[in-house]
Amino acid sequence: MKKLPILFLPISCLCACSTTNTKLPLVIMEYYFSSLVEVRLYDGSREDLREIPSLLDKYDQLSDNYHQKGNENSVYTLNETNDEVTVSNDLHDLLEKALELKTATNGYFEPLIGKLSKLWKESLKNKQVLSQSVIEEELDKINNSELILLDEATQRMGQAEIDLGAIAKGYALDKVKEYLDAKEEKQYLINAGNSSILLGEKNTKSGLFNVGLKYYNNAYLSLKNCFIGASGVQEQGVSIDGVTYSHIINPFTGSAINNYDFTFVVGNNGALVDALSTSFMMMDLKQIQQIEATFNVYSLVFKDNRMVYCNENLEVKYH
Amino acid sequence: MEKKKIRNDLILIFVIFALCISAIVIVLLSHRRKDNLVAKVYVRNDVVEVIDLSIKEERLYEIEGTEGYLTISAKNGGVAVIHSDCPNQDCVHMGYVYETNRPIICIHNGVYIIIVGKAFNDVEAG
Repeated sequence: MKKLPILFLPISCLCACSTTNTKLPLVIMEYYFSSLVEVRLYDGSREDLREIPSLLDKYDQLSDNYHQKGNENSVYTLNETNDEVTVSNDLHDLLEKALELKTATNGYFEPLIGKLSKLWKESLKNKQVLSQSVIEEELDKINNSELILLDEATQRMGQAEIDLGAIAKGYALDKVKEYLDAKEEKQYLINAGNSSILLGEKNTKSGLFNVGLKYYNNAYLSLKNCFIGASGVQEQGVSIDGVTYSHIINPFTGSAINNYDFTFVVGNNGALVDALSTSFMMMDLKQIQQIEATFNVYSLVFKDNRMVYCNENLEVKYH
Repeated sequence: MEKKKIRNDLILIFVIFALCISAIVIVLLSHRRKDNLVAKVYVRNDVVEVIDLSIKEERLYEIEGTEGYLTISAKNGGVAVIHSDCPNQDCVHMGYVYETNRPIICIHNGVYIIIVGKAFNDVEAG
C-alpha cells in the first residue's frame, strides 16, 4: 500500500508586528493531514498560537490510516488488527463522532470506506477504472464489517478499513475552536488545506472574511464565526475517457463518479460540515435541502462550472 | 574637444541605459497589472460573468442580453464583443479593450462590460 509522506514543514513563523495603528496577525503555517494548515490569530498571544499546532498534530496522528505516527494507538493500529485495541479518550471520541456522522448523513459518510478508497486511488493513479468485481467484493466487506466502541477498548470487526479523512480536519478544527473559546479569542482564521476552514472574526469593523471559491472566477462570500467544509473533484479528480473520477467514493455503489463538481457547506460544527460537504457530492438536491434543514447548515453546489444550488442564507458575490 | 566628446558619449550611454530600464519597468508593470484584472459582464445590473484576463489563450463567452445574444472574446489581457444581435454594432466596433476606464456598452441588449482589478480574498475554499 502506497503511503503518503508525513510532511512537517514548519515554513513559518511567528510574526508579531505592532505599529501605531494596525496590528498584523500572528501566523503559523505547517503541514498536517497532508495539507498546509494556516493559523492566523489577529489579537492573540504567541503562547496561545503555539498550542494550536499540537492540537492539530494530535488528531493528525490519531486519524492517519496510512502511517503509524507517534506511539499512541491510532486508526492505523485499528486497521492492522481485528483484536480489541486500547485507545485514548481522544480517539474514542473521534470514532464515536464518526459513527454519529454516518447516521447523520444517512450512510453517505462511511468510516469503513478505507480499503475501497485506497484501491480506487491506486487504480486512478494508473489511469484505470476499478473493476466492478473488486468494487463488489469491497462493498461486501464494508457491509460485513463493524466498528465496535467499548468503554475500555475499540474493535474493528471484518475486513473493511477505517478512513476518517472526510472528517478528521473538521473534527480537529472543532477542538481548536474549543481551545480558542476557552482563551476568549475572537479574531482568527484557521485554514486546513482550503477544504476545512474555521472563521472567527476579522480585525475589521464588520469582522467579515472574504472567502473565495477557488475554482469559480472571482466568486466569494463574506462570512464570520462559522466552519466551512468544501469538497470537489478539481484537485484530486482524474479524467478517464471523458469521465471524471473523484477521490470521494459512494459507499452504496462503490462508484467514484460524483453528482457535482464542488460543494461548499457552512455551519457551526467542523466535523459535521466536513462530512456533509463530502456526502453532498453524492446526494440529490432534495436530500441536500433536507439535511440542511435538519442540521441548520447552508450550502452551495456547483456542477459543470455553474452554481446549481445556493441556500437562501448564503450570498455569493463577485469581485 | 576630446572631453566634450567623452561627455556626450556618457550622456548618450546614460540616456540609452535609462530608456532600457524604463522599458523593462513598463513591461513588468503592465504584465503585473494584467495579471490582476478581470472583465465583469453585467446584464442590466446583474453580474453574469467574471472573466479572468490573466489567461492569454482566447476564450469565448455566449451572453444572453435583454434582446439577444452577444459573443464575448477574451485574450491577451483584453476583452471584446465579437458578435452581437444589435442593430448598430457599436459594441463590436470597439474591438479589444485593455484599459480599466473604457467600458464596452451594448444599450440594445442592456450589456455593460468593464475591466476591474481582482479583489483580495482572505481565504480560498476549494
